[in-house]
Amino acid sequence: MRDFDLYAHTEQVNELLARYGVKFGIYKNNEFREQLFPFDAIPRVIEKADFEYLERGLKQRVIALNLFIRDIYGEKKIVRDKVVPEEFIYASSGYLAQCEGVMPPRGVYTHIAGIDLVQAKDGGWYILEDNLRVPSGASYPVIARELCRRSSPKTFEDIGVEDNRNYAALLKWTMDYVNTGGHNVILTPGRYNAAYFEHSFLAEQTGAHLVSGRELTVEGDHLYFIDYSGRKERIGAVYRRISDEYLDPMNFNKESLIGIPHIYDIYRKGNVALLNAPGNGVADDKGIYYFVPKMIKYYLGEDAILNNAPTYLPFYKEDMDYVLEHFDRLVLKDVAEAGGYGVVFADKMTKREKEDFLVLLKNEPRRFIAQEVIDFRDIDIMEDGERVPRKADLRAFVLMGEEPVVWKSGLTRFSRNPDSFIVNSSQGGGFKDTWVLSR
Amino acid sequence: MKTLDFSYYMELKFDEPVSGHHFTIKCMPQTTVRQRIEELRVDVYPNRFLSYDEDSFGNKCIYGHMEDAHDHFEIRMEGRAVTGIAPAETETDAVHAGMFRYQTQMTRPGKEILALAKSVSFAQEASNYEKARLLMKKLHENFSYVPGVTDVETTAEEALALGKGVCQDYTHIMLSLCRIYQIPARYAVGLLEGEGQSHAWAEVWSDGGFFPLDPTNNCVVGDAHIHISSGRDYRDCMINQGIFTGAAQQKREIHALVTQAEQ
Amino acid sequence: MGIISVEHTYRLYWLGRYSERVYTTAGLYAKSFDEMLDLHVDGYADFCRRLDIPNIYTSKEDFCRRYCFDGADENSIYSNLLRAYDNAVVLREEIGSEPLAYIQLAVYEMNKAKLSEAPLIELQRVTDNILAFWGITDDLIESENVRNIIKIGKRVERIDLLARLHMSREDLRREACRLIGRIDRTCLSYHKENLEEIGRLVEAEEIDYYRLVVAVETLLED
Repeated sequence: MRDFDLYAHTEQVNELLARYGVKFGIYKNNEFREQLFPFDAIPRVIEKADFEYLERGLKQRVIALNLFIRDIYGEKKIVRDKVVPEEFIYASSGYLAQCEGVMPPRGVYTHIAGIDLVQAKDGGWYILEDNLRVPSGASYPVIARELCRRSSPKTFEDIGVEDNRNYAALLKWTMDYVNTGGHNVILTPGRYNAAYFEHSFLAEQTGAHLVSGRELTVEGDHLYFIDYSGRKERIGAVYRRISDEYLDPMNFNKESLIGIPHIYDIYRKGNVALLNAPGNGVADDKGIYYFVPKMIKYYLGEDAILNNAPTYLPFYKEDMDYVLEHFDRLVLKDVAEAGGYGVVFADKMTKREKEDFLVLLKNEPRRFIAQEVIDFRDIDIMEDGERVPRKADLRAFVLMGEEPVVWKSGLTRFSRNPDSFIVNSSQGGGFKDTWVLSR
Repeated sequence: MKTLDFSYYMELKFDEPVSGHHFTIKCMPQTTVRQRIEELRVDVYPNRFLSYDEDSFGNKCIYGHMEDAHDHFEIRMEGRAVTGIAPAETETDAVHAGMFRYQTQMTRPGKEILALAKSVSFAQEASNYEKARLLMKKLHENFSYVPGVTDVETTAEEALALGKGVCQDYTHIMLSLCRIYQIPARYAVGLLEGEGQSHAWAEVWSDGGFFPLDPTNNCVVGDAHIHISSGRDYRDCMINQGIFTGAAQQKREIHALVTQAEQ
Repeated sequence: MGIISVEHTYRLYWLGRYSERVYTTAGLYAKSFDEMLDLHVDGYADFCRRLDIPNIYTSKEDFCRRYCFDGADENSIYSNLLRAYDNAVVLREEIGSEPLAYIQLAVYEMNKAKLSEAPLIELQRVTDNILAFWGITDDLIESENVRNIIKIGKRVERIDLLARLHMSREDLRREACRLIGRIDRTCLSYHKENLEEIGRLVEAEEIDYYRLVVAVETLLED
């Protein structure tokens, strides 16, 4: 790969990102602060053929996950056929009994899926986790691409990179597909949310109105936006960036002040689309992750194209035995945690921590999964004018309409700490653009 | 079998007007395998925006809202039911019943409930129903009916630690005990002959059906109970749930009456 | 979707007001800062009195630093700029990313000025960005309603400040004229009697500054 003059422009692009307020919010000592999301100009480059393979695998995975959620809140064949044990459904914090028997508009649950992958040293890709609730991050590579093209125009003249600035158009296509009649809106918990920049950016880009819960109201069996004059405008699709439990105080957490009373009741009746569908958490649980290749086989009769990281479920005795025997080389994940929390590397534990952990593991085997540590292929970043290797993952976005479409880009996050595997922005990581080559 | 006339009246009085009031009501008995509802009338005030729905447990709901200021809210429901038609509600689907096998925030056991559960022993071949009867007996011996010491937020474990409570507490502890033994068990709300308020009891899954057991009265539910709703715990079955704007204090008045119909 | 909530109309109005407040008070501050160097060393007490803000400052240095840069001083230029930002950041959709960027840049420049030995030079960049913001909102925002609400906020704030500073009748008449001519081109609900009073007050021989401030402050309906 030739050296792009783009690298010289990292600082300039970061300045432009600051200019456009490309930030995420973070709470430190109970105080809200906005932080810039550090950008590294060396892109992750994915060859055309490699991406085509990812695309096939991601579509297959998301189709299966969508069928799984529909099955779980409907017939539950996969449980009846003993492919997935009952407790991994009903005891999961992501399972919502309120969703039983509810079919979302056009049967779509996973409108926007953010699938996290890593590439191993040998070039193989592994799925790290599926994010089917409110995955964020697509706006960052979109705006970074725009600014890189501005600061380094020559780079883009003949490189043949797929344009990724169609994300908003894809999102609009997804909203339009399930819209039940009326406007599209983006529902935000407010500007003190970590991803507020993204909410407002996507609203501007898609032409969907950015709203807070108190600007919407359910009257009779429909949802309305009330404007300054008291006029009501019907809403047909809500891309909600608030979690299930806060969505509707009458149906979920009754303390929620950011939700809309009765929105779930009219959703149940098919009178508004919610993106993503409530209850999706049942499918992106770290415990369910183990079963995704099995569900692909079960629903589609195909072998999974993309591999999971080798995962063990201590819930099964033979897996527990394996975990105990090879404990020191595994990474243990608490299924209830997210965002890089609840992840421990066995070789980093002290003797005491290990003893305590093993007691916990034996008492609550369902709570953990164990995975082989994947030898990541590092990606270079520029640090103080030098190229240094760092751990990085890729969040690919799959949007669902009549059929799934994989966005030809993705969010590449890297860890700034050379010893860390944790790439989450909430833990200080940075991001890169992801280039998919068109030839 | 009995034919029962029933009425239920609930009024909320606010000491200052409230607005932006949203409510969901689950107060309507339905015809099932165990009971036949022959007449039913329901009135709700305020009634400017009312809508009808069925929740994921099959309970009938009325939901609505009132933007303008108002100082009271009422539900009036009456009808006639034939009860005790069958011993259990049919549910042959073990996977579907399985949803009620898992503890909720209200029923999650602590050391008190675990200890009580351990103190019961069963014959090896006992059915879920037989086990549940023994658990109910044990619970009844270790818990007293005392109103006013617990409230709607009290969990099963907290109640058992107190040793006293009301039908809601009996039922939550009963569910917790059953679920410890992997027995699916539901929370049920309804009306009871001779009781001036709504009542709660458990429904235990055994041999293809949900069998109602009333732990407060340590008895099998026969034809004195009229079933209104079922769910995983109290929160799925609240007769009235509401939110409103305003700092008003509310006073609640409830009258329920169930009597044998004159033939 | 071209419709706008009550909350966002207020935010646009306050964005106009705070951007104006920052712009005008920064100009006044620059003038006083210059005078206080050698001509009128204790001029800050007079400055506070004229602007009707509490004189909480212990010295010339304290005033020069805190009135301009202290986020904990609720009357500081910095606090007012942050309020402008707080309103702007939730209006990306109405005003657009490009105009919003200028408010963001003004905040960055203010943070830089805070560290400078010669803050007036850096402060110039803050006001440049406010001017750029006004220019681009006029140029880029399609909705006449949105453009005009921001301008009404500016006019109201300008009249308010001019009246507090007891500026000339000519200045006030010009601003009142712009306000009266524009307010009906917005969706703002306002008290008609206040608007009429503003018109009358600026025409009077002796301007009743106090009543003028009250009339503009209570112009909008709650």
